[in-house]
Amino acid sequence: MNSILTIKNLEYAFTVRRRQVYALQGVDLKVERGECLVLAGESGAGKSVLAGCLLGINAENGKVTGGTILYDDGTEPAIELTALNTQRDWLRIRGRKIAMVTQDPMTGLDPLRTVGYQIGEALKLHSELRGRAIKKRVCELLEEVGITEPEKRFRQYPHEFSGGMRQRAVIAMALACSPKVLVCDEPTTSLDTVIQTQILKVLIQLKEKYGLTILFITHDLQAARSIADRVAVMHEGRIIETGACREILEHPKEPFTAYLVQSAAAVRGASVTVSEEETKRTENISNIPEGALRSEKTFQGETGKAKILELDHVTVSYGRSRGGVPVIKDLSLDLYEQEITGLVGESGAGKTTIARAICRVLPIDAGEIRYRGSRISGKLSRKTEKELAGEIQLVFQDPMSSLNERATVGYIVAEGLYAGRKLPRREIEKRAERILAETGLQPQDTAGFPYEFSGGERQRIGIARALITEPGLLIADEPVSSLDAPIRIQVLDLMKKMVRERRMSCLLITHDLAAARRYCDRIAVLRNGELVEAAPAEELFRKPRHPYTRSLVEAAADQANQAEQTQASAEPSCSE
Amino acid sequence: MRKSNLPEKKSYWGMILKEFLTNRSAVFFLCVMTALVLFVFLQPYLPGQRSPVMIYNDPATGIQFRNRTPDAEFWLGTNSIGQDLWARTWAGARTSLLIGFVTAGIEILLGTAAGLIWGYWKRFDLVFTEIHNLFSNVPRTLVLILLSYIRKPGAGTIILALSLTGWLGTARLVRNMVVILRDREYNIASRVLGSSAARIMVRNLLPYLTGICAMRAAFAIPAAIGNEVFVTYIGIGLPADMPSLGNLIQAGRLVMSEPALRYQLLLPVGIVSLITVSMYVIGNAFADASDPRRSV
Repeated sequence: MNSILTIKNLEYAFTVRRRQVYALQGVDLKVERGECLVLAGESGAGKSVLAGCLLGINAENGKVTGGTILYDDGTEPAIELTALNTQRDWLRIRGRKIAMVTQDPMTGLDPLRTVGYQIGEALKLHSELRGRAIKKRVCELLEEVGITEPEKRFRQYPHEFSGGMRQRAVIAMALACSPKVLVCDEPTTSLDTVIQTQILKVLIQLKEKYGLTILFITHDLQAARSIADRVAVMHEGRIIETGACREILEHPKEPFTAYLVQSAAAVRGASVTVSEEETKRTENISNIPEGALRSEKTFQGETGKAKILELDHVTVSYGRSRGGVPVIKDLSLDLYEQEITGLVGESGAGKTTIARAICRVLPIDAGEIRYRGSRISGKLSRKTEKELAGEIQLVFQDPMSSLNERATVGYIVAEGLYAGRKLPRREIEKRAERILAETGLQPQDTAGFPYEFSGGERQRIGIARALITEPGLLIADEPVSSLDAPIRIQVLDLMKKMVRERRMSCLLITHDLAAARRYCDRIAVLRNGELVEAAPAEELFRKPRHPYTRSLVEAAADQANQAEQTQASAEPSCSE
Repeated sequence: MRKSNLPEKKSYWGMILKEFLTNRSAVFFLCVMTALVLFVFLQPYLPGQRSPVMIYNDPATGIQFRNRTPDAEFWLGTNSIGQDLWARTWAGARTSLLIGFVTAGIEILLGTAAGLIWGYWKRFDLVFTEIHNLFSNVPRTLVLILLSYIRKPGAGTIILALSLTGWLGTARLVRNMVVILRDREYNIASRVLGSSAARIMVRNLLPYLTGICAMRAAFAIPAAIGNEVFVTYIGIGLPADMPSLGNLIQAGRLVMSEPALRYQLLLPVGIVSLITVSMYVIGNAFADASDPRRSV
């Protein structure tokens, strides 16, 4: 029996501004019938491009420059996917033989059509079913993917579905024409852990029932554990290692695979040292000393430290013209000089609102914010405002939207200096180059535009921009949650190192308690706009006072344990 | 995808220009437009040119040269009252290009400035929206007709009338873009860094508007010419003794039914088409070049 997909020496290039950029550089991969193959790798490794090749849906400026993909499900003569040219040809493949589940369930569905209609559409196009029969089939599909009350859900719109349900609906849509292969491109990345597990379960059930072949793309090896039969690791447009799931997770051969396994574990809270050599493999930072990468907890939160920022009974609400919805309710919190304070809470707790209120982007309704003793909320004199500019800086969550796409990196990084201080241009440029070098980029990157950089590099640019004004307080609003596991640690380590070197204070906003423990001196827990608990990090973990904090700590510990297990088994082979 | 062998490029505008210059058809049409403008404005100073308004009589009979066909003396022949069509065509193009460029310039400058203010500061939103509603409810044609009645007919009147209404569309377009961009994180970052509103507008917003501004400008020039043709056609535009492409096309239309005289319409229509196509291609190429993400 042949493999259902045979990819041979596949090369794929995009033409960007008349330059050829190779996304795939000779991929060899076989996917067997009825297996679940997990394709793992960092962002930019070429995973999604490979998936796009299977369905012929890559951007128009890309083309296959070499190699072949053979599809053979045993019922018809094999089809060479790379030889398909027209959309008409592809329509025989898409949905019917190979179907795709996309990453973002929000964009995978049309907000203006009912979910039932959208799933039915595929049936209308590809099958003989009409009218009632379509509805019946759609309801069956919805039930299949674990959506209860399919009759009612059929008539609902995507916004009435939760994220997990939407992802289920997208899976149902992919299954509508009974494909043989299901390509899942990071289907669970935007979902939280509990829902993730559920979706994976659904996929496993479907695979068993229909003998589906699943190609599951992810950057998170831990998440793939429960579903994978085999794992293929991708790096810089090549498959560097394939093997059984256990084999790869526990005895990775390639150093990069080991590194991927470890970092997936590390993000989940296990105390891991990412060795310097491995860090260098993916991005060129050579100037981070060993110690900075270790989860050190040497810093003792001294009492009697000077306060850098005081939030005094602060209330912030949105939509003030119509009564207003308070998002932050009567919050009091102190940040201390040269400390990293973690602000932890689930999405919707008001974390970003606080960050923006401190930066004076949002006005506060009641209370007062003081920076180094003087009030910075409400109306300020021009002079104070001038002095304040650059003192409190923000690092944003999304490295895509937080950089001006149409300015050079040099300008973006130096903007704080151009805007505030009276410095000669030459000096500003020099400082920009210096800070870029410090964040692990090249000085000549000043001439580039943001689109030329990866997510992690963009976040480094964001950090450089925030630090160039030498602020007293850095607010990092979920700085790594949109990055891949391996890169998360690099960015957080870098940030910590720079904050410590400059003797700054930092407010690290995150939903990840484990990360907060690793990087913060003090942790404040926020829930529904109210402060639940604030304590030095270790103390909070040892003796969480509030039940909510306790539940968070336990959840984090669970994850850490899981990761630790993998870790323990992966460790020996790393030292080989 | 990453750098390394990238050439040194220092600013966004330099990048746009460089990118624009690599678009062959755009550069070709830019050359065509430049040549056209140069020729149109230099033509009166060339040797052997006739006056565009002078009526030429046959010295033998004393009667005007009516609709004389092209020959060595009158390169494009004469019109129905004996004026030299060659001279009139270029004089007409001169007037129309002037009106087109000035109107488009005013429209883009005024529209972009108004749109930036309208969109950037929430407190101006209501005022500007009402102004916009008020003006945009008056049909453009009506404004054109009214102003042509009030003021003396002439190029100035047409420019005024066209600019009075033209900026509204641009302003609204720019405003909508600014509202979308205003609260993007990179702008919040700039505010937190202490950048002034002016700096944010020039460095953060304007580059994102170049695309739509280029397209608006590209369309505004032929549109201004078209409008001038229209008002002149209904008889309230430019005075009859001032040649314009509008005048010429109108005159050409009158003789269109006579197959032997159709050539009179050809050149003015050709010039209008050339301008329209060139500006469209140039504007499009510029808009394309303005997006650094665009993949070629």
